[in-house]
Amino acid sequence: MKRILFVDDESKILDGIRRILHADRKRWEMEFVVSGEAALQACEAQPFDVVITDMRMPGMDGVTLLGHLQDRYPSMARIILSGYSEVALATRAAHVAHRFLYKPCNISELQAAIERVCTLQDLLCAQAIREVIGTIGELPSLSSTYNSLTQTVTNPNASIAEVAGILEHDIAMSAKVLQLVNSAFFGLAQKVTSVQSAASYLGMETIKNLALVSETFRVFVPDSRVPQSVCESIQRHAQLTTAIAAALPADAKTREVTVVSALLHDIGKLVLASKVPDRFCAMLALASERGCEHFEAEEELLGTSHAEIGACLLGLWGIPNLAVEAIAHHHRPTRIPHSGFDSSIAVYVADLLAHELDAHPQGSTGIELHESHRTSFEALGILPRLAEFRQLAFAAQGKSRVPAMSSS
Amino acid sequence: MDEVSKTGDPLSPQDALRDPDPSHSVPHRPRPLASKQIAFRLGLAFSILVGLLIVVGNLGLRRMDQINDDLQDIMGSQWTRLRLSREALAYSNRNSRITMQVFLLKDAGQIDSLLVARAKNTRKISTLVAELERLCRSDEEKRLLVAIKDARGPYVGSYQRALQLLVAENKYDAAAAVMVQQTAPALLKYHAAWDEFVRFQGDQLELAARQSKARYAAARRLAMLTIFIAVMAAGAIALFVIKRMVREITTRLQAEKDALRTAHLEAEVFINAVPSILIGLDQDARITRWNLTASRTFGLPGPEVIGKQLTECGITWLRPSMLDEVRAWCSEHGSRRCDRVPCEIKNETRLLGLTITPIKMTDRNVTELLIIGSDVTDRSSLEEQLRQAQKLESVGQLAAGIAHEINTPTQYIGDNVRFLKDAFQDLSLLLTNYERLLAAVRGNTLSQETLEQVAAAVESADTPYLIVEIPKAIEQTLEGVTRVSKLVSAMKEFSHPGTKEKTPVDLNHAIESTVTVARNEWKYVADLETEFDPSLPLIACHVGEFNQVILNLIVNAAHAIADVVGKDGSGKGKITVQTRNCPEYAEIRIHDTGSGIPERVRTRIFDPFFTTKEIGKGTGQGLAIARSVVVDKHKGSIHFETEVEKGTTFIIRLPHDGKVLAAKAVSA
Repeated sequence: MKRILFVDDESKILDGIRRILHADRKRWEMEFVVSGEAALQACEAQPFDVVITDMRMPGMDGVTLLGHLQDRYPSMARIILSGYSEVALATRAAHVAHRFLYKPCNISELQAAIERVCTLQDLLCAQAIREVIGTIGELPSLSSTYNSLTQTVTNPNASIAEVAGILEHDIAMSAKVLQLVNSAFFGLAQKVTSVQSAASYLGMETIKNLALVSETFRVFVPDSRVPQSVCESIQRHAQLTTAIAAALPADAKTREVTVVSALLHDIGKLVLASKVPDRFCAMLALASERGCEHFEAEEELLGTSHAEIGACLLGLWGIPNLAVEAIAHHHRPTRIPHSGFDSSIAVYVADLLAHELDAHPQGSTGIELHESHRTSFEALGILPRLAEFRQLAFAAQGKSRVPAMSSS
Repeated sequence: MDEVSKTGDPLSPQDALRDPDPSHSVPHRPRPLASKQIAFRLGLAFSILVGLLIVVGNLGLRRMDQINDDLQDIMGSQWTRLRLSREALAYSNRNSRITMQVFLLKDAGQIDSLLVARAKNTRKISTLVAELERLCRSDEEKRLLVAIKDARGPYVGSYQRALQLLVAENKYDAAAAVMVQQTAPALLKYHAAWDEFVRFQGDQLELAARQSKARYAAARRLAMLTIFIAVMAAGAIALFVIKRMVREITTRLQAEKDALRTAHLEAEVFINAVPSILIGLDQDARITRWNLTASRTFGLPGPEVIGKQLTECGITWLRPSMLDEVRAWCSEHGSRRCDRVPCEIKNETRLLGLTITPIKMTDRNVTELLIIGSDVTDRSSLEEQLRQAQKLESVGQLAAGIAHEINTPTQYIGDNVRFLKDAFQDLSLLLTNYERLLAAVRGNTLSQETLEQVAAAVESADTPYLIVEIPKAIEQTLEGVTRVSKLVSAMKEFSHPGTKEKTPVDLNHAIESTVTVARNEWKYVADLETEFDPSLPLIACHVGEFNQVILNLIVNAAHAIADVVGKDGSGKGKITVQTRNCPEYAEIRIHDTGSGIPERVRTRIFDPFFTTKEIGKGTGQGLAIARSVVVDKHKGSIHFETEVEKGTTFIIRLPHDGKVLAAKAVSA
């Protein structure tokens, strides 16, 4: 049973939450404390899986508390429930909290958030994935440019000019970032020629994530044992998926997360191809033999799939939590509750349609969906929109001409 | 020397040169010479002069030497020769007499002595002749001397023969005959030769003298000439030098004058370039200086106003007591500021900010006034706008906090009501089950199954929990609603638009509202306690601005405590707000347990835009506005007591007119 800790200086809020979540007491063990110090003490007594805290509290504030918890209990899921809408505070919080919720918060939204983080936690801490990650061994190191970029973006006093300056030092990375920015994915009205204006349009976070995309493709170089065609198809597929995902209807904020998730959703495959090529080839063989999808073959052979592996690694490398979720669940979206058309659903749909278009380049209207997918679509409530999505995907296919993201 | 600036120098604005004396032509001015050049030229001139003098002197001296030589010559040898020859002649004459005597005498002894004498003379003559021979220079002389010698020979021989005849042989007659026939003509010839010689010498002497005279005259003439030339030359040089010097001096004087004029012009340019109004007044308040900006501001050019009194120069001062004020300025010692002096310019009322400084002119022992100022009308309106903006800014600052304060109760109101909804459903279901049970009991159709079902329903409803929690939920919900409405009404009170007039206000209530509205600013770092004096009367004030002041002080108190408490720190500070009714005034004290105000900034905290907070945390206007509101608008006072690391207390005193109003206004 999951242990959840609620922290807020206003005891009446805690009472309200306690009452409303009374029904969930069977699946969650909940505790309520009124200060950051009390929270730390409670965690020391017995660790929690999820902590939900207010931002502004007397004494230790929420962000500081989460900072401490991040250091001491890194696997704890951290959510902020805040009545404050200050932007600077949100920026500071973004780097210690997995999710950020605003008061007044719909209780179902709160429940959904808790469920999602719990699911992801379970998924990414599962034995199987730990084994695979263990086999992989050490994570390749990211370039110093990316590291200093991350540090700068975390600093609340950083300016766009500073961030742009750091990125511009790495010509290859900034070229790739600009390519991505100018692609049809972001739907910008005019071509962006400098990193600085890119950061102005899309924000420092997005630029950082795009830099991570560039880094990831650079460090995971598929082994020579893996056929070249496979690697190329992975690249192509990533681009197509991204183009489709960007074309799907969503608001601007989710779009940025969607684009990053779509670009990186199959990174798990590259990881396997570069680090454990034998098993990857074995998986390819099994999949073609069975005629099933890659992820099913992977689950059979490894106990986990490229979705979770990719999500786990990228989570360690600090992409936003929403992107981690989207990547982790892009083959099994019904694992988590959704409200509305979020990034996770978008990546799932885009991935699916991209595979369809691979198989039927002329358009996939009229083709029957596979049974499992049909069920998923129904569960997600998007089955009626399938035709619309297919049209958008077909239109997007023509625009997905971004040059290859190989390590060269 | 510096370069003389020419007209049309880009430094000077056209305006500045419109006024100066137009009769000043600017001819071509030669450059004044450097000192070295002058020294050189003078040196040259004087060395020429000296050279001339030396030459002339030299010439003169030489001539004088020559004349001297001549004289020497004349005096010397010429005369000597003459003398010698005369001497010789004299001796010869004696000898002749002696000869004659010999002839005439018969005494042998006498003849012997005479002969001895004669021999002596002869010897002397020979000596003299030898001497003369030695001294003879010219050929003519020599010839004549030779002639003499020639003539002497026979003569001497002849008379010696004669003597011989006479003396030795006693042949008187033969001797006489010799004498007469030979000696006498020889003597004549001899003496003629001597005469010739002497005459010659005499001629020579005369000649030499004449020559000397001529040379002297010539020399004199030459000297006169050279002296004349020298004088002319000297005069010319002197004239030239004098002319040059005079020109030099004139040039220098002119240059100095120009420099002075330039300096003066530059000073004028400077004064005119100053973007502030610059007016000089003498002791009678008459305008002595008037710069360009003043002309522009008032629309009155300099020449029109200079010499006139400040109050009668054409400026419409809108203060009736302007003249008295000006006189008062004249008698002040230090510099003083007059902000917001109204005057009418171009049919508009403008405000001037003036600084009046008396200047002591030590050389004339008078005091003049220097007035510097500018048109601050725009600035005043800007300041007004800035005050408005600051008000809005503080409201904006609060908005985030107020949003939080409203969100918090909203959250638990929503949660509680949802809980009540679920609880109601559960209870409703339970009720249905109980009704079933009742019906079954009544109808005697009670079965184990039904019992179990109802028991299960009771179980799942978790009634004990509901019985306890539902009332609590209701109570907390109501409390939340109250909280929100209190906050809203406090906001309404706080942001009440001010009126131009002062209204009687219950200060305690106003402070209460402000504290509530600002709660989010202090509640995380401090506990706030209020101690209100219930006997505080209604005070006439501008409530909006008063609230602003209290807000600023509370926020400052919270920030001061925040510095001490820190992020991780445990324990909150304390803010205490007290009101007290004193005989003359109402006193409000706001005390915080913050870090106190350090010594070095204590005098500056009320200055506008002074802040010790980091960028973004405050603009430094809070206390300045507080002072302006309390002191200027309400004629009250604001001061503080502080102790570093202990805390600070701000004390505001608002005067009331002593009438204690019994009834307090009841808030709406």
